[in-house]
Amino acid sequence: MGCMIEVVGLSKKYGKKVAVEGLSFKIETGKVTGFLGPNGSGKSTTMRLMLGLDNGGGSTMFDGQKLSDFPWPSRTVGILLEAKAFHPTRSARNHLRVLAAEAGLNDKRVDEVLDVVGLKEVAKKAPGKFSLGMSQRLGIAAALLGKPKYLLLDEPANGLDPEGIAWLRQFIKDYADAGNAVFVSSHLLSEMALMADNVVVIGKGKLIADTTIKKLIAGSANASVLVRSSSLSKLKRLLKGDSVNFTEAEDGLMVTGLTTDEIGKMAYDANIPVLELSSRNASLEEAFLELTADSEEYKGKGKPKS
Amino acid sequence: MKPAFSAELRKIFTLRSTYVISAFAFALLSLVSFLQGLHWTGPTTNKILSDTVTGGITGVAGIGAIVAVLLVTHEYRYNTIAYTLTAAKSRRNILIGKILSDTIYVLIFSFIACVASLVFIRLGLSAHHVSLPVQNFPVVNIFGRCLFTGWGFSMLILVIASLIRNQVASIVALFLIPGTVEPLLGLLLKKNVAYLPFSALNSVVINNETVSHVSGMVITLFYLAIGWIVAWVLLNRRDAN
Repeated sequence: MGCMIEVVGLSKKYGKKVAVEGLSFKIETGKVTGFLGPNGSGKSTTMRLMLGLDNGGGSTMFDGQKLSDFPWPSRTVGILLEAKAFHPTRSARNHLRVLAAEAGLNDKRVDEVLDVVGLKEVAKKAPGKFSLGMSQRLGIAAALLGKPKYLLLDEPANGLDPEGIAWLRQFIKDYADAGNAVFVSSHLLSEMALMADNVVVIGKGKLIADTTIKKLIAGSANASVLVRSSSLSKLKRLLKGDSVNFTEAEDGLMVTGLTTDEIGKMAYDANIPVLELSSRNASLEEAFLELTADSEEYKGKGKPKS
Repeated sequence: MKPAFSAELRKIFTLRSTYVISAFAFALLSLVSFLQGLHWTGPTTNKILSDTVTGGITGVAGIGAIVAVLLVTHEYRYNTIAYTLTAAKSRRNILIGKILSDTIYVLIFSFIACVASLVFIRLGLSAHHVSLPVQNFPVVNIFGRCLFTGWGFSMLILVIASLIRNQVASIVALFLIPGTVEPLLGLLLKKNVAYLPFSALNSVVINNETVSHVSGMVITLFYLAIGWIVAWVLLNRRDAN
């Protein structure tokens, strides 16, 4: 068993409602794994099941062991499940001192993580009046306290300012590059596209995709190829096929269902001059929306009245 | 075990509410004891001091027990339970950590409460120029029973809070069960009401025809043992929210 988190058959029901069903995936060390899904898809429940906070079916193994088998579980996994998970009048430093005691760590480590997340100046202040961004930083400090090999972060970028988001993105990437694994859920898909290597997508509690970001985007129906040619009519006739679609774009065609290599070869064989042949990648958002189109539980339907 | 105990101790002693609740209880007890001495009209028996101390602890044990309620229910109210459960190797350690840390707090609280009531009734009596006869005050016996009562009350409430997990409901239970529910059951159970948990605990410091001091302790410990087992089973089986 290599260094990784292995999730097998996670399941959870609330009464008759299935929250998570037979979820299995792996999280590799040295990589950032994004966790995506629409609202109510079971992301938070999955993370809680992975940590054993909720009772359900299935198992989660960390390097082949249960979390409770580690002598210091919070030195193996650092968690951020909720931004405001602290007592509002216990100072930020004391909040971390409590967690440090649980992890068998000394107070020096508390001061270190406060410095890392930039909260040293407000360490003695009650976090009840912290902004959402500062609360997130305190949550991240709590997760980092035990220098864990694995980080499980649920929406860590919520409420952070642009500087904070950029810092978090770089921090997460560096943390993974240092040989750790980061499993992070977020609705900020542009951020996810920038920091995640792999992605796990769920909808209605079921696994939809477990792949790399590159493959997810490349596999999207929205990925297309721009072809410009001086013989567009000939090209149109050539591209007619069951799984091939094209639309006219400026002075060329936007083709889906074929790669640049395939179009280039077809055009060459048909003696059609090609002036430009370039791929247009779908965004992670397009790929995500396409994947989860049938899994959206809560959809907005209204439009603002003018 | 040590990390859980150490963390729970920090949870109690790093909260302002712990000191506010304790200070309020001591101030109230000191004032009542002083005024009791200052306006003393009863006979000057040799049990004035012992009755004041035992009566005082029954009056403030409920206030000290609020700390036990907060120790448990804050975890769920502010979702720190996720950290607590993830960090611990076993949920049993968490429960034992809470029991031990609250025990430390409540023993200190009860001891100070006993001393405060002793000191302030003497001050009140002195101000009222009442000279006390030689007092029958077996220190170890009185302080032992008072500390047990303070501790027992907190532990019973800690069990209830662990089962309910809701802060408001637990505080309501803290005042309702010993103050209303058990007395009402007394209408039905007559003398046997003394076998109910808070009534049994009360008999440790107050003379009771049905249950002796020692029997009161045994009955309380019996209820606590059952309560701790149920709390432990539920802590293992329930989702942490």
